[in-house]
Amino acid sequence: MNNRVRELRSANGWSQAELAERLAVSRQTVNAIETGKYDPSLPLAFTIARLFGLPIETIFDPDA
Amino acid sequence: MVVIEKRYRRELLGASFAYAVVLVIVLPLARRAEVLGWQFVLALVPLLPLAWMLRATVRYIRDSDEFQRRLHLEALAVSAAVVCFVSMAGGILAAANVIALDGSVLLWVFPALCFLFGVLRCQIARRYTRE
Repeated sequence: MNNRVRELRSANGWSQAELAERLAVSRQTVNAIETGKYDPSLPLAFTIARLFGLPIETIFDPDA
Repeated sequence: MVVIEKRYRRELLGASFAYAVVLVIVLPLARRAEVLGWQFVLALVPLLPLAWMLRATVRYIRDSDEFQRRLHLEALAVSAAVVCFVSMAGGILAAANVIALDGSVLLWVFPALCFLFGVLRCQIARRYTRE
């Protein structure tokens, strides 16, 4: 599943560690999500969407 | 998350130190104890810092995020399978009188599991986070 987490994080000027802190996850987790190696659970995906103020489907693309 | 890792390292270090100290002090006393009851109690004292270690690990896993839990689970499943397999192999060879094993070999099961878990945990994390 493709996602725009890295792009949105960079747009906000946050480091992986800063985003991890805001999401209450580890930096390793943010890295794994950004590289597409790990697809977050629905609750975490919603938390990410809420943090960036965007609908979930504009961040995560299940068809990719 | 950094707080959780720091807490885990601190607790694990403390428990490991306590285990080493207890082992050095208590085991010779247990061997010298003349009353069987005391021997039994003293020999089991090293289990207290071990229980502390297990508590630290349980707290670490419980407070980890979902991705970290997946890494823990994969590493634990594979390391437990390998240790069980090797233990079974040793047990079968001992039962067939091919090799001689005494009960003290069981002391290696927990350290082997911890070591394998650590190695596999790093390897699995690398696989997931490689660009």
